[in-house]
Amino acid sequence: MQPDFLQRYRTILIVAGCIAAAGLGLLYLLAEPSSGLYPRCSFKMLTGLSCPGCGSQRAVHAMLAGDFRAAFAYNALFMLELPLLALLAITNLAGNRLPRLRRFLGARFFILTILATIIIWTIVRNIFDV
Amino acid sequence: MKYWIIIDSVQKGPLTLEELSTQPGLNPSTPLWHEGLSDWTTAGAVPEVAALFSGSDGAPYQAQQPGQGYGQASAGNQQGGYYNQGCNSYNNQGWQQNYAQGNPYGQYNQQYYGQNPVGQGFDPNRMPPMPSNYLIWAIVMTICCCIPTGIVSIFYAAKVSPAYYRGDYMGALDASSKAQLWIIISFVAGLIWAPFSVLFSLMSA
Repeated sequence: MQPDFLQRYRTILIVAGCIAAAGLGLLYLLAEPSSGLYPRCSFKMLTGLSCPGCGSQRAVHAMLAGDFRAAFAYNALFMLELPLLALLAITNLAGNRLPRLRRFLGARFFILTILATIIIWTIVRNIFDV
Repeated sequence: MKYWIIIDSVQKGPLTLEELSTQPGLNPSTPLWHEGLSDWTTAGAVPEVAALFSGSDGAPYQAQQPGQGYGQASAGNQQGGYYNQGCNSYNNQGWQQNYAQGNPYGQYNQQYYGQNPVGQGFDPNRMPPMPSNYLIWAIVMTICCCIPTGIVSIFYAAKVSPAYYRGDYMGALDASSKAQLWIIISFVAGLIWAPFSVLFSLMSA
């Protein structure tokens, strides 16, 4: 697999992603979590444990309805990752114009901190049921 | 991407960048072609291939205009095929010295095989742009889809930038393509699993 695959189809992927996000956004705004329309987490069904992403669909629903407090209660990590992903996207689009930020966000300790956060969050939420 | 080269009037290819780096006799004026090019160019004119030549003692990374080196290479071949005849105008003394020492790929190759001390090789002027680490995709895949394969892609994403900034472009490219590979594996696995997930959701609703 050559590394230019995602770069080559970047525009298509971004457009498809935006359309999918808009469609899903509308769906999540209109459909209630109790309706059974939300796909359930396979990890939770199989193991009974919450995965790091469990609750993010309900969080999106709450957020689109303007209830950020409820969104954080459903999945705090997801709500914290959203601005991080936005920051990464901005840094990527800025190319070499933000060299320090770019280097910081690509540093090993930073990325491994994200990884550790996801793993610790998964453990913590299953112990304390959050 | 696959590359085709001509060494001693013999065409070789398709070769990966890694295979290219181990070709004896490859130099900046070697005729080279890859998909998307309308005509043959030289190895020195393609940034990721030119990175193979970045020498240890100040040879600049410079993209050559297509055409120049080709003529030099064929002239060199006609005169008996010694490479340093063919690349006098390349300002690439470091490469020639390395070649004379039996190490035509210079510092770059030493680093790739881990023989060089870390932290000396980074010079933005003779490195191609840093390969993407696909961190956004890796995080999305880990949280929203497939934890184990997502974790692997984050792990590889963490290797891209450190390898790049110590001058190991090939190592960065390798980590980048592995991060990408595991993201695609995650995505395909999620796609295959999605109908089952919906089915189970409807059954338990």
